[in-house]
Amino acid sequence: MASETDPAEDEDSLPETDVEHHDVAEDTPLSSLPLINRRRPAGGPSPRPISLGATGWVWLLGGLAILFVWAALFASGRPASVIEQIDAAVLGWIVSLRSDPLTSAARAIALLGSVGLILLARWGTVLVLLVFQRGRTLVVFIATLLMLRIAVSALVTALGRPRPWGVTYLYGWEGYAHPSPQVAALSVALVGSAYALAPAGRWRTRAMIGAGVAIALLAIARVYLGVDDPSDGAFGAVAGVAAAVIAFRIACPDEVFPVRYTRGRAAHLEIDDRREDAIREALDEQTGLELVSIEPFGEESSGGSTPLQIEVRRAESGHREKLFGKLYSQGHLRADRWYKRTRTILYGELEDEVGFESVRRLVEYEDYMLRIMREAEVRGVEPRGVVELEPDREYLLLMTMLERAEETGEDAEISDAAIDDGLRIVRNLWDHGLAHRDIKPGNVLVRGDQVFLIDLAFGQIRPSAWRQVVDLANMMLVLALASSAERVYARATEFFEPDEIGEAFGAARGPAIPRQLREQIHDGNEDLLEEFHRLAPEHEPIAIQRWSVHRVVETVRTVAISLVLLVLLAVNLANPRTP
Amino acid sequence: MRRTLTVATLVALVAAVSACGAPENARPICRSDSPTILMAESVPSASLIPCIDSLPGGWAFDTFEADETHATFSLQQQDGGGVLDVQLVSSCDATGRGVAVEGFPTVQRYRSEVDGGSGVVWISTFPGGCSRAELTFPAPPAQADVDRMERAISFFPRDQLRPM
Repeated sequence: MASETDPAEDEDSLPETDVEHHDVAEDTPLSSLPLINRRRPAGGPSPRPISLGATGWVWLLGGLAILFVWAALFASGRPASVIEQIDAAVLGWIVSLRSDPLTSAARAIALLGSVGLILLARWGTVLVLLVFQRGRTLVVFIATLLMLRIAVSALVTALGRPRPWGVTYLYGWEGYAHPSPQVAALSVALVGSAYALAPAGRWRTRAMIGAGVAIALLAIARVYLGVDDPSDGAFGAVAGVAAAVIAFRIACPDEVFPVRYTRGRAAHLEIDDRREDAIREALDEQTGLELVSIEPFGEESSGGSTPLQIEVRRAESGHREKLFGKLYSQGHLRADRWYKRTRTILYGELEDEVGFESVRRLVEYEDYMLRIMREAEVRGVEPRGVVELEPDREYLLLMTMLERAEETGEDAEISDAAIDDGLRIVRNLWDHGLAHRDIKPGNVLVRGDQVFLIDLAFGQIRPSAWRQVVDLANMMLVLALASSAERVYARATEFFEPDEIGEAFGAARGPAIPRQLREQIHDGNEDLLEEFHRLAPEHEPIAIQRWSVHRVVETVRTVAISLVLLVLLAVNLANPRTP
Repeated sequence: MRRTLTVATLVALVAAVSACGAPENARPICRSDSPTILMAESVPSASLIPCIDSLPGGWAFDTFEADETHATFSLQQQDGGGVLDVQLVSSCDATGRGVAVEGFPTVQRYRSEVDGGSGVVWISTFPGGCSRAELTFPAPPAQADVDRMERAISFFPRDQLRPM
């Protein structure tokens, strides 16, 4: 529970040297985080558990069952007699149906297990996932394929079950028969593709039915053609389907990584009925707020969370308020880790590029930064606390909604007072030992003569001098996009020494400038940086590249993992006859 | 750390599965077993299946492959670099004077030298099939080594196979 504190009365607060205080909060009747007397009883079930589901459990048990049978097969060196008897009976019956038309049809169906078709299913899926930038799903899909292929190849040789004896084969084969590599490969490719590409619901059900029919037809056709015993195909199918179902249910659940083809970033979670109900329940239970409406908001500027506009009503008073919410999940946590890891490898440790351990920590950090910035009187949004949707998996960070504020940019000319306000914010950050680290047009909002700094996820306490001057340069560039370099530079000299400004533009290079800001400079005024360089005292460019033990270790580790994946790929492609 | 352990466990599991049993089912020793049965299936007409009677010292089984047209396996000399490739097919051309193989009256064996004298090729024909064995060394081998390997290559009758 947060309480309103007066920084001036609190000796432990951040230092306030030469800081001019301004209103920082939107006028609002809601306190920071409402008190609520209800609490969930200890030991209760998770409100929205991610589970394998009934189908997942069926396939998990199926997978375990065939593992048990395989163990028995391996121990005795031959199939259990009951399997042999069933195989012989079914095989004999199916082979007795042979006729020229059926043979032609079976040969055509057997092409479903051909390397070309299976590679088409695999690479088609990979291509779609690449186009839609669904990295997590891509990794799970490829890893499942590779692991199953290696496991089946090893099992086929380890079990060493020959082809059906005494039956004339009507189709090509290679190596031992059990479990059928063709049926296993088709199963994992089709079911994996259905999970990876088909949205949950009607489309996925249809895809699964189609996959099931194709797998069954292939298994039967291969028995008819005399190259597999019935249990070879059946066990291959169970292995392939179970691998895909379990991998996707555990490593890529729809609740966290939904399949969508609507516009918007892949990182954004869908607010479906289930999630909306979870948010409604959590708001009511944890804050006493009733959810009136919820909708995506400003998704184009946000890649690290799912931004939402939420209208709530206080249960007791009936007062309504619009809040800004940022939904964080494990997907966002992983994206944050990858973003920081990539920056560490590419540039070195620009600043504190350390990933968070959990979604809870990620949200706690941003909520903390909101409160620290408010205490430092950096004008922005007011924190409204954190709502837990799923322990350690999904949280909603709440803050006030900035009404009538607009993103800065070349479309809206701003006043000298607004320029002063933006520069004063940076001065304030410097004086309180803070940095924003992501100052760009989307995070600098203007309302009249007031500037608001939002999105504090990358905020930092006690940043380096380099980071502080980068913040200054980025703020000056943002403000100049909506005015001119001359005006901004003239106002900046009121708040900063000319040498500090020169240092700022010596540091503002490459990745130190956020991509959105770089793009707007490129589109609006390509000479903007040059103009500032002319105005400010000359300063040696400050190198971006930083070498450290951490960077070397991270790079070596990533290269090693990539090599292992390449070797796995090579092993899998080494025998083009077997899928 | 937890993820690293998970990946390491998976890799170890796959490696363990890969390791267990593989040599056994890739060694066509002269008995009714998976490798000889699979070889027999690859050439259904072959009345005999080439196999290794007893593995000569210093040699080890290397590769084993079978499909609907033929079957092959190889042995590798662990120190000297020698290689023995054995192939079973339904028919092959043999020239020269064939000699009978002791214990297998239906087999005719034809011997020829590999270019440069660094090895020997034996082509053995029998009803319904043919086996081609090529023994090569980095340098011309001693006759005793060639004789030893020739004795190692034997046959298992199809009618004695007990399929699973």
